[in-house]
Amino acid sequence: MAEEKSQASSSKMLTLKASDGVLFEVELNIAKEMKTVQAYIDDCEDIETIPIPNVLGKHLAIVIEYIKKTNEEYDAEFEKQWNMDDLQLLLLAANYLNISGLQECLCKAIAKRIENKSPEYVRKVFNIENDHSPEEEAKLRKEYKWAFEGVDKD
Amino acid sequence: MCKDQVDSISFFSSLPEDITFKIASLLQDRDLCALGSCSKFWRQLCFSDSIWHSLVTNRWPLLHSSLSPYVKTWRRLYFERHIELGIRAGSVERFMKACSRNESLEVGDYLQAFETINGAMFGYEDIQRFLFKPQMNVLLNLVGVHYCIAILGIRGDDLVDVLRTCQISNRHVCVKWWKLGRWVYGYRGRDELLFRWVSLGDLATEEDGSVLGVLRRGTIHEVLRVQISAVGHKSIPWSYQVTQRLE
Repeated sequence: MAEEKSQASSSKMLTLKASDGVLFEVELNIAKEMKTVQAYIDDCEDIETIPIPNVLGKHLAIVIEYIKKTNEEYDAEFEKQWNMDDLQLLLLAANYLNISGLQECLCKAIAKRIENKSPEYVRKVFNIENDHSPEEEAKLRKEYKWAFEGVDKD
Repeated sequence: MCKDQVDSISFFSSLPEDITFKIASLLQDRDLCALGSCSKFWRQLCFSDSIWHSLVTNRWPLLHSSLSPYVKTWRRLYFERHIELGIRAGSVERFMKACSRNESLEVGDYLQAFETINGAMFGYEDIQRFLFKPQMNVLLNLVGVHYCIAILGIRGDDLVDVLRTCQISNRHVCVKWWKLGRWVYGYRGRDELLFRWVSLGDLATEEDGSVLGVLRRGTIHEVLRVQISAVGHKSIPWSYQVTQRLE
């Protein structure tokens, strides 16, 4: 019985519309991995096209592919392909669409990018503005010598 | 790709707190300090006590249950313990160096060094960070390997993988021990010299644990003397007629 039901629902297709108008046809069970989309479907059963106003077509394509393919091996390779901007936008997308697996994968990827790096490098990569006063900076440098020594060369 | 699209200030502020917290909580201690040094926002997040609490419990699971949480912050505790263990490892290294003659150590001194590490309740990560360094004397690496197997119960492939990552799995030690000659028909036979030349990786996968057994037991019963050296077996003195290489 359950098998029949999933067969019926998996063949149903849904259209997702990205913020730049790009359309994606996906199977229902793929779309349901996005809890935000799931909630949308739960609210209006007959909907055929779901707008995704916060996500560009480029990133939605990546997200959909991730959902289809995800496994340990794929995850390990996945995170290497994207630059920091893409990672950040993908994380925003995964957060909006509420896909916990992808969020976890992207958080790990972002954490990995700053592994063993100096604060100067991290600021550059994350585009963080240093709002510490010189005194505060000196104090931090002294207290957390660790963070400033023996790191990878920028 | 348009860099303007990602304004980092709005990127991080448009993420819910639990996600930025998640990113911070995935970091090692050092990276956490680096990220925390970047700005006030990150400092407040990265040095929050809950993150350091989980770092303490992950690294020293037994320690945290015996502490009152009101004594100091978890962050302070983490730092202090890390530094303390580093100092302890340094003193063990100096002790072993002082006791060595021609790069060899007597088992009594070796066991004393071992007990110092044991007494401080080093954890697995502590051993890796403080004792498994390739630039250290191999005898100190040996104490670490012995400790992992005997006290932490870590052995086999898991341990070998770590030794490889630390680039010490192929370092060798030579363990020599002298056994009292047996009495036969009123005559005492010659004392025997036995030795094993093993890599740290071999020790980790050794099925019968015989080499570590020799170290652990030390000079007892018929074993007169046990010596551990960093040198290769070519320089073993052939001063005893009966020598037996154990396979």
